[in-house]
Amino acid sequence: MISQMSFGALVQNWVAATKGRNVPTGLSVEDAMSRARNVLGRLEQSGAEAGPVEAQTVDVLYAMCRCLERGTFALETLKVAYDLAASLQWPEDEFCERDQLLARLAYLAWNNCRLGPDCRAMRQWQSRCISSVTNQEIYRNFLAMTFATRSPSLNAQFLAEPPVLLTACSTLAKTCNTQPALAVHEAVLMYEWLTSQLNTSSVSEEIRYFAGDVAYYAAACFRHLGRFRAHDSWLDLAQAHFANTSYAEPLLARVKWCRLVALYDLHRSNEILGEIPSLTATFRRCGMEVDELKSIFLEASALKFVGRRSEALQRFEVVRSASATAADPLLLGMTVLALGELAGQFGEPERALGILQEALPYLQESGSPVGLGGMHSVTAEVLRNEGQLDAAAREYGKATEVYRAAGLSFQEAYMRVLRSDTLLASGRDDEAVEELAAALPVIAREGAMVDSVAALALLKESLRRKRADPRAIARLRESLASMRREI
Amino acid sequence: MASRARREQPPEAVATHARIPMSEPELEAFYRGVFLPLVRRATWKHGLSKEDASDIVQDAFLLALSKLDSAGNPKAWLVQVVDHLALNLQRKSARRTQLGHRWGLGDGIGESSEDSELGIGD
Repeated sequence: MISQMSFGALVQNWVAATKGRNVPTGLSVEDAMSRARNVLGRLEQSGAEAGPVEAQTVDVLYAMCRCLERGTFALETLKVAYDLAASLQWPEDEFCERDQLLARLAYLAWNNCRLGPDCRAMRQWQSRCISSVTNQEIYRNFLAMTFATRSPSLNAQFLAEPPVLLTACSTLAKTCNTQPALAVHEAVLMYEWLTSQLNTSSVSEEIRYFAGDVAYYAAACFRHLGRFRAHDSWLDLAQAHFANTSYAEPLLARVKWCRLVALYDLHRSNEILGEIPSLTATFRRCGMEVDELKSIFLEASALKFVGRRSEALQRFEVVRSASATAADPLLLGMTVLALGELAGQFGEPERALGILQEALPYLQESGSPVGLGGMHSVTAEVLRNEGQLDAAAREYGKATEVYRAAGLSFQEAYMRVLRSDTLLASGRDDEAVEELAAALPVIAREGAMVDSVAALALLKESLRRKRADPRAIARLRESLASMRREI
Repeated sequence: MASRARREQPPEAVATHARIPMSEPELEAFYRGVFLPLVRRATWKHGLSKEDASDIVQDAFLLALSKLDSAGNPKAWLVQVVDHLALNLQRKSARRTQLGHRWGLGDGIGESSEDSELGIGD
């Protein structure tokens, strides 16, 4: 706090005290730039020297940022400049100048690593940049608003700042897993804004990178929502943008991984097993440790699907034991979930249920509805196989609620059909009918199923008579599984 | 770029706060903690000279006398106003340069006497 006075009183006093006076403003831009060039030269030779921040020092730091943004400097110089700004003892910093400077310097280092490439260091600098941006209230408030609720001038003003743009894209990366139904709208609008900048921006290579990144997350959202044609189109866009960046290999590898995941979701695991080992090797060569683990996870999942369970188990254990996995609650949770499912398939239901409970806190921390819904669904399947139909129906109900809350309508409908089937098997016919009644409008809304017209008609008739037909439910269940291939 | 004329504060705006004189340490603290950071923002974020940045920040303080809502976040408000004033000044400068090139007058075609539009509501 500067004073016990109200801020309005402070301003009034200041205005009165400085009326007609020239108030010193520190170093001129030219002086600051000259000193910055000297400091950069010394930093390159002897490293950062910490000390108290004077007003002139802040001007020199800003000037240093400007020099670094306008020139080409080694990562080591950027790192030393960052360390200098970070190590200085800042007094009251009501306007978050320290974080502004650190965000800009971290962004420069991130971009240097991106072009380097140094994927591992890129992640670290990205994290630092995001931390400094989100420390500032003005940017937190901006990022908390959806794209559509911000005015065009607000978007233009804030997203023109590269650290803010990087943070916005990173936010999208998280929300595409936690709230895909909302994130997809954000991604589409951000993509339109970015591509409108391509012809006017002097840094079109960076804009292409971000456009590709946003298109990639749009594709991921569509995949979560079960819209595979839209997923493919957006991934094509991502690939086209990434191909025109300075170092495309790691980005194109991510695109390939995303395509393989979609094939896995469409139950075409046999088509991907041959592709995954070379993709994993690419990630390893590029130093993309988390992507490498996700690639191994995908391979393990595909092996599990085709019945090669021992090989799948071995690969899941590799992912689970990696230190990078421990820092990623979604990857860890999904790996433990898969191990639980495997235990069930190996005929160890009690062990399976124990492992599935272990996965729950990680998946809750990740906030991923796909993960959480999947956990309840797998638990339900294990319970059902053990004849615990009521408990299975409860778990299917939890999965349904997770998908419904996240706007994942297709998954919601599928869970309702599975729950209906389970309720029918346990003699709870009325509840089975109720569940179907809730599922059918969603199924009808998601798309027509030519080969299930008869099943739908039979079910509607069953509902009219307040009776559920198990054969129709089974047929509908098969149709829903195959419907995903057509969306 | 030449300094812009400082706007005289309207006498009625002074009455919004009963003025208790600030001590020298308080003035110094305000100078270092509010005035200079805003000047640096206008300078380094918006590419203005220190003189123009100083004028804009003082204009923002004058606006604050009549428009600042003390129940809100005054510093965030000042940042927003400084950003708007700086962008307005840049647009004016760009128009001036454009017209100068069009009419073959080189740098600058004289000061505009009109006040810049703030472009934001109360």
